[in-house]
Amino acid sequence: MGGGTPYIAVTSDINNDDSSKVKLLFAQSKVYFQQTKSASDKVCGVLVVIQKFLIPEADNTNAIYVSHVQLKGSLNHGTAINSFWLSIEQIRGLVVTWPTFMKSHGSVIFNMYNGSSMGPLFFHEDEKSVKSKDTSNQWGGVLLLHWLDRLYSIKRSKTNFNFFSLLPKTPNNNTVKYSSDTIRETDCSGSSNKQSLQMDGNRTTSNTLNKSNAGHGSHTLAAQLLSADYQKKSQSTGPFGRPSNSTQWDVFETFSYLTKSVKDLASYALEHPTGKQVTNYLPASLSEFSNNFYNNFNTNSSTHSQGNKSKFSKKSNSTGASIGPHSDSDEYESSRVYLAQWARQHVIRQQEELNLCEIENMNMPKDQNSEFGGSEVVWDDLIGESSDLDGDEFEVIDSAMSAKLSNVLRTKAPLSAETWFSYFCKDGVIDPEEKLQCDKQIVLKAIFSGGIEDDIRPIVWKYLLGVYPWTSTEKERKAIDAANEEKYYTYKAEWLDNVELQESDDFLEQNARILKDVLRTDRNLEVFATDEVGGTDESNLNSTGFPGSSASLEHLKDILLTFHYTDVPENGEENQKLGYVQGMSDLLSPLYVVIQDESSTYVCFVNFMRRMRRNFLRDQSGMGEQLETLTELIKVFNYPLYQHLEKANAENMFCSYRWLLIWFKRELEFSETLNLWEILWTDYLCTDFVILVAFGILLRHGNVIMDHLVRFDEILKYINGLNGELCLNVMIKDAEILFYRLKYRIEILDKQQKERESNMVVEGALVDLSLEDKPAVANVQVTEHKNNKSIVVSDRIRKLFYA
Amino acid sequence: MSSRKKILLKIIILGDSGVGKTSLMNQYVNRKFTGQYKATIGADFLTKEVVVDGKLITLQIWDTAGQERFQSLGVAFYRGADCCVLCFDVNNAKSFENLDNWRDEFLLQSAPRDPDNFPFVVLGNKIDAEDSKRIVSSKRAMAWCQSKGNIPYFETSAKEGINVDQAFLAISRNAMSRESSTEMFSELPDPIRIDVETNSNDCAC
Repeated sequence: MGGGTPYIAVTSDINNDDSSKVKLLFAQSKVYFQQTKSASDKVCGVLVVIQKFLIPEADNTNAIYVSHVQLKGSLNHGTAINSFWLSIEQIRGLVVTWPTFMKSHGSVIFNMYNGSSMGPLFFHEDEKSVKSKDTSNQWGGVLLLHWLDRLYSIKRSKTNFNFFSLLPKTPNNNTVKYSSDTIRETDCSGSSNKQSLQMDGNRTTSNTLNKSNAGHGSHTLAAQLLSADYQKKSQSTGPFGRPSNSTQWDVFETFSYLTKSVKDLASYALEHPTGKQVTNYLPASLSEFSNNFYNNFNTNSSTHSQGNKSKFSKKSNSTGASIGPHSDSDEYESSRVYLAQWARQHVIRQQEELNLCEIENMNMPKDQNSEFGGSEVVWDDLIGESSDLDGDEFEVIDSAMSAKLSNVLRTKAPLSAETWFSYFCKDGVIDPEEKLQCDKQIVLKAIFSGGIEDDIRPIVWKYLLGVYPWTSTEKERKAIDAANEEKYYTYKAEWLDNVELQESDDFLEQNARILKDVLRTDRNLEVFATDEVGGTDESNLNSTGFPGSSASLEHLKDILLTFHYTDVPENGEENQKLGYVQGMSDLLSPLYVVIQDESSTYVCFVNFMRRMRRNFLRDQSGMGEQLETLTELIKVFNYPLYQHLEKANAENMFCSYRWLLIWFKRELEFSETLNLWEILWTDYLCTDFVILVAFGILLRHGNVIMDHLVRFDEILKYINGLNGELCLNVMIKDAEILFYRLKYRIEILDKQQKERESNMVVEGALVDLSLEDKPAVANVQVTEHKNNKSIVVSDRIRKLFYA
Repeated sequence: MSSRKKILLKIIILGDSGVGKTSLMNQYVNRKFTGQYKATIGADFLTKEVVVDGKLITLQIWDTAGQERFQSLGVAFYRGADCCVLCFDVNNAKSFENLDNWRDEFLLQSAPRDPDNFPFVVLGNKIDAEDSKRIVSSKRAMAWCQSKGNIPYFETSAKEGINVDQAFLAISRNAMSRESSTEMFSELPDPIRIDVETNSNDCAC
């Protein structure tokens, strides 16, 4: 093999220049400048990788790859109107935005070393590569990456999953070498540029396209020209490229549109890597439907006959109408939930990747550990999914906030016994009284950052739940334990020995309720499993009235009864005891499993219930308050999602009821629950952090919800189905970042409000101050939007951040 | 285009905690029983497609938390129900006595048109337990049902799968009876006519 010069070119005419000296390595047809809904009316070219034989008999293996990207756009008349080329050596990396479930196109942006960028170039999923040994139905962007990978070494950025750096493959090569450190560094330093590019990949307006190209050399002009030409074209011919004035046409057009959307759905499903994963999970009927459709369309390719078209049109009409996210149907549609659950795989996969990133970060040495790192990705994603209408604000906040955000705490390694005991040391020696030697905030910070390791959890929980004061000595702690034990068994004996009480209606009812629930609380855990020696639940219940098959179950029951017995109504509870309420056994069980000792568990439970009490009030005011706070958060910080929920009658957020009532116990693995709760107990950032956790999850799934679900019951089903699908580290990190961001936004909104009040004369000052870095004129539209919405940060939200 | 109107019926299962609401739903929809259900928090539902009297219908069966403390959530869940299933445990007198409360609460919160004729079905569950444990007799249950406007009554065992299908068939029929009475109000869309050439060049767009 001779030395050569591989090109990447996007051209309308592969045979254009010196083809005799060029070897075609890879070609991808229909690469678009303009992101559009369908592939039928765009400006497009062919992307090719060409190896140019400049020095035919040169050094055999170490070929110097001088590569070019050449882009030529063509319109209907086939004339190349513009083109540009770039050397691969100039390319530092690629920002790849994958097609998503609802978008058939993804994009690739080439980032140059000189800071400029090319693109985005849009690849549609349904276009096949012209020449590729890999015949699998992969998206064009991935095929391009695979091809580049043969020539160059491609590395995915650890901090931005969309970014792939391009490096010379051969180590002997004289071109610039990079240590992994340099890559890291450049990844971070180039983040602002990268980020804006990535945003463009996600946006659809030509506006942003132009913006991204502004000032980047000749290709900018190309993009603008193409963009202008495209607009001209669409004006003259209408959106479907032909005059549309007959009813007949309209009907066919509708059919063809529906056909297209169904086809897209089917093809995303099978072509997209995520789709491949989930096909197995689909209900048989749906998977059959998508398979059939996909196959049919593929065999016919894009040039299927009119006859076929009508056949599919008919089919797609009925199906498309019923599964479309905005169909007129006002009834529950389970297929929408299926499709949403399917689309969710994308979110879940992303979460898994982020989680791996978190775990990797956790294991890194401390100095690197504190880097902003993956959270940047987290936030970008949240923006992308949350702010179709007012996303611009966040971009600006980004640069201003990056300094503040550099201290994101999550996710660190959990608090170990070694570290824990070091908190009791002074000058390397354990305090003789075993009293905490550091500020409790240091401990809380460590726990918030990573949780607690299993072996020290029981003792640390007693601190967290206020059983041990932070300043206590070992002697005091022992005394506290002894006193608590005495107290608990005294109480227990009081109700056990009180026959009159035991026969009272209230007691009997509470007893029955508690029994019912204790018998069905975490029975999958070994500690609560049926003890064969003790007999089955039923036989025990029959003979003794107690579950009795396991001592642990009796302990749970006794603790709950003692809690009821000792409960004192708080103000506003009309002198009525709280009583046992479903969900309490879920709150007790983790305490019992960790603490193990009956009397200590009781004290921990009493203390935990102090803050959870509001969830179980008769008038449900506590839950109502929290759900309303969640609603307001969505309304203020993600209005599109709020509007969607409102339209679906789901803005009461009852779908998050279970999350908040028992702090995600039913959604997470048992061990994850322990981890989440200890983090929540720290109150490190705020006392109602759990609401931010809920908000973060809703943001992650906001797009799927908005794309697919139109009714309250559909949303409820979807949310209930998230149990087992949440990722703890990502949940908490999202919430942490949200806390910083939203607090900052509130400050800005307040500042804005203040200025509005003090400076009524200057109308321009009404501009949203989150855009303060930009000239006011540029943001008129945003301002209007904002003013119509007139964001009011309620005291309820304020309380969340400034408790 | 689909010529048949799709029928979706919303069924709400109510009753004291632990009477077997989740079990009944799962036995009917998934033909499964496990003693390891957790107490239901909030609400959830399952759907099942069945053919009743030659019509294909989709049942959306709602399972709610059984403790009265959570009843205020009902407003959101009961809305648009086609039939309400009241459950009690035949071995638990209290759960039977509470049927009145559940019925009243449902009517109050769902505020259906014509509440006097809203379809209820009563299920006495857990008949698989020993006879000696049985507290609520069939006679007593039927008397109550009669006094409330002849509510259909079934004795079931979600555990053994006894009478569950029959009960839900009756539930479906009752729900349908309501559906058919409301059908006359629903609008049928105009058929699309593609054979007529209309020269509407004066279209607004």
